[in-house]
Amino acid sequence: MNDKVILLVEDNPDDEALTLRALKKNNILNEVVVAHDGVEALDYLFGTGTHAGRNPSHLPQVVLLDLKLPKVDGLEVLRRIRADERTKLLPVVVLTSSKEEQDLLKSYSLHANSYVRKPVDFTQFTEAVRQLGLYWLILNEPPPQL
Amino acid sequence: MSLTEFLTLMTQGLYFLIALLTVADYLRYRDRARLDIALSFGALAAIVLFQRVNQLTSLQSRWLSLLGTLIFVAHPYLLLRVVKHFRPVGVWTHRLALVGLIASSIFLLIFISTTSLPPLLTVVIIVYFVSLEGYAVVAFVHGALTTSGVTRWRLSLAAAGSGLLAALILFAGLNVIFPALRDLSALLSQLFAILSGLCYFLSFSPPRLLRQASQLFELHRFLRETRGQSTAEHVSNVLDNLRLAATRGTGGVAAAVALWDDTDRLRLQTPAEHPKLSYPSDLSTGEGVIGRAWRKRRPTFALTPADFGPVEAQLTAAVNARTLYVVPIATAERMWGLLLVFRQAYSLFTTDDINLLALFSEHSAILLDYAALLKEQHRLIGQLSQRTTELEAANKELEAFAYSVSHDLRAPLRAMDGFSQVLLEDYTGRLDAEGQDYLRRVRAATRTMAQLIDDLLELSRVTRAEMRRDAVDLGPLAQSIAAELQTMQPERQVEVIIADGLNTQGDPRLLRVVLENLLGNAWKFTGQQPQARIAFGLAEQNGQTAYFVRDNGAGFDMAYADKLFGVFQRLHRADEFPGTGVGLATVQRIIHRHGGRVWAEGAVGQGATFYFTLP
Repeated sequence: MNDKVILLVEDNPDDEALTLRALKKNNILNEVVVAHDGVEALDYLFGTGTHAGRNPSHLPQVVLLDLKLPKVDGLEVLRRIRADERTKLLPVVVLTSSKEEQDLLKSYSLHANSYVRKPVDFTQFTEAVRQLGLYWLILNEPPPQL
Repeated sequence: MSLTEFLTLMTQGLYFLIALLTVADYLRYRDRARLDIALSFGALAAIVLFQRVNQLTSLQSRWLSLLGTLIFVAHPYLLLRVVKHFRPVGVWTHRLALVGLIASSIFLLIFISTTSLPPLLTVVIIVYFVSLEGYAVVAFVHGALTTSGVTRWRLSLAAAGSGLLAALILFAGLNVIFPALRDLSALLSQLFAILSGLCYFLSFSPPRLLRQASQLFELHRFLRETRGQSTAEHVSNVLDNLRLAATRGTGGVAAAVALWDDTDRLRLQTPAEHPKLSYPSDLSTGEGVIGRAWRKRRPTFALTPADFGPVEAQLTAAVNARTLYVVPIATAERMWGLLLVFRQAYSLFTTDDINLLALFSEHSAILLDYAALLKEQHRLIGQLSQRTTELEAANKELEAFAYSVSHDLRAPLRAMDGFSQVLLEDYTGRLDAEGQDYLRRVRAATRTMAQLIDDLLELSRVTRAEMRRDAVDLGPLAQSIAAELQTMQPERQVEVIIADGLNTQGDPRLLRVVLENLLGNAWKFTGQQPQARIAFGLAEQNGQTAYFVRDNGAGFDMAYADKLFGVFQRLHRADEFPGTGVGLATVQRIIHRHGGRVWAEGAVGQGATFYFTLP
């Protein structure tokens, strides 16, 4: 189970803490790698920059991607993931505050696998994270590693 | 009736007509020039009349014949008096004419008893006659050459008339001297007589149609020159052309334009070619013809210096003129100014001149109107595109703002709610009941805040969103919303009645927001009703068809009906019925964007009905 890594791309430390708590509360004990901006997320995925030396063929089980990020924003991260042969099939769930139509449209145009709006209500938030974990870590069959 | 007789009759009729018309003209204007013209043609008509009387009564009165002959002899002198009005006649010419007149008359009186004059005297009379008529011809031709337009045309005809009359006398004389040529000269005399009559007729009293025809050439030339001058840059060209055409068309010495300027003054625009023609003050208030023309919006003229006010006197003196025409440059829309035309000499053809000038001026005014409209249109288009750019920028900014609100304002709320919950879960033992209550209040407040943000974003979205116009059936839309409401509160018993055939045109997404709000409100406010009823349908209201959503819920006080649709306006306390006060504002915005109206009726405890129209 532990080899199924979750990549959480989140710049807000509060949201990070709450997401991690929600995962833990729901007994999702997979390793969670947190990237605090778009650059860090891409470095992790491609084994560059601060993550130089990491084997990029070891992909996370799912990426939980916020859209509003410093440096490189979430949509750009998604675009680069899809543009690269190695990561183009990687499951990416957009997890964001907004439900602006343009965000939804752009995310799906860039082939996001799912789009989840973070509820303000923490009870609902916890429930959302539980369902995400259940679906993407257990139910969903990931694409074969290339 | 022989041809000669017919021609004679025609000629006589023609001269009679001219005499009548010129006398009428004199009676209308009552000036010296017209008096002289009337006398000149009256004399000719009198001769004709005497001849006729003689013929008809068979009296063959010698005295009447003599009187006729005397008047005939006096005609060249009378003609000279007419010429005087077109160009100065020398004192000696005048005296010579008088001497000729008196001498001819004496000869005729002396030889009254004889049947015919001695040939020598005949020659003298003919020379007197022909030379004066010839002098008139020269004067008219000179007058025609020094002027232009209608005047030139008519003076040329006058010259032709006088020339033909002189030729007539000459042939009559030849008739006396060479009796062998009698037949030929008689015919030619008749021909010249009728031609001369025609020329005089066309010159001094032409019918309206011919007068207009004589203006055609000038008008055509003016129109050709103003062609394509209808943009703002050509305003000064239009006015220059107007002055040029006015001078040319009336044989004036100068023409100037006075324009109503920004400071509400009528200012003379000094023409480049007449620098002395200037007047610094407002022209609109004077008592003279200029001020009168401005105030009455009518063409006016001062034919002699006696008619000038001080302003007119000063202006005419600057260009050595003695006659002034003032014609408004105006359309029904706007009075642009006045056209001033200065003439050196008095003109007999003032009415024609003024008519022509009025045509020029009005055409110019129309061009000026058009140029002004174009300028205004350009300004408005410029303003519009600037506004559009500003609006687009503002809209972009608003969009960016809404986007940022949507993303950033919710994150802290989530933290507040989340960590409050964490406290409640992990630190329950260390918090008493009151502490836990406070944390729950924090959580409730954050949820309210989140709802407010969402509602405001929705409100801003319905304002910004592009509108579609599709066919929408509101019935199924309402059904699905009611079903959602029921799903969210399965324990509620609500009777929802939705009418059939609620087809309309509009944006399906926005109309869904309207129904979500109205049905959602009805659902909410019937919450304390054991037998809740909600109806949605079409009704006739004040003569127009309106959709309505009616419930038997809490209702509202009509005194506050105008507050219902304001943002953040609520008529109920939050602990009675929750809400943010944005929903109905959103509804109103959507209906207004569709071009419809929304209003409500209700009473406390008796339910509410919301009406809206969709044109």
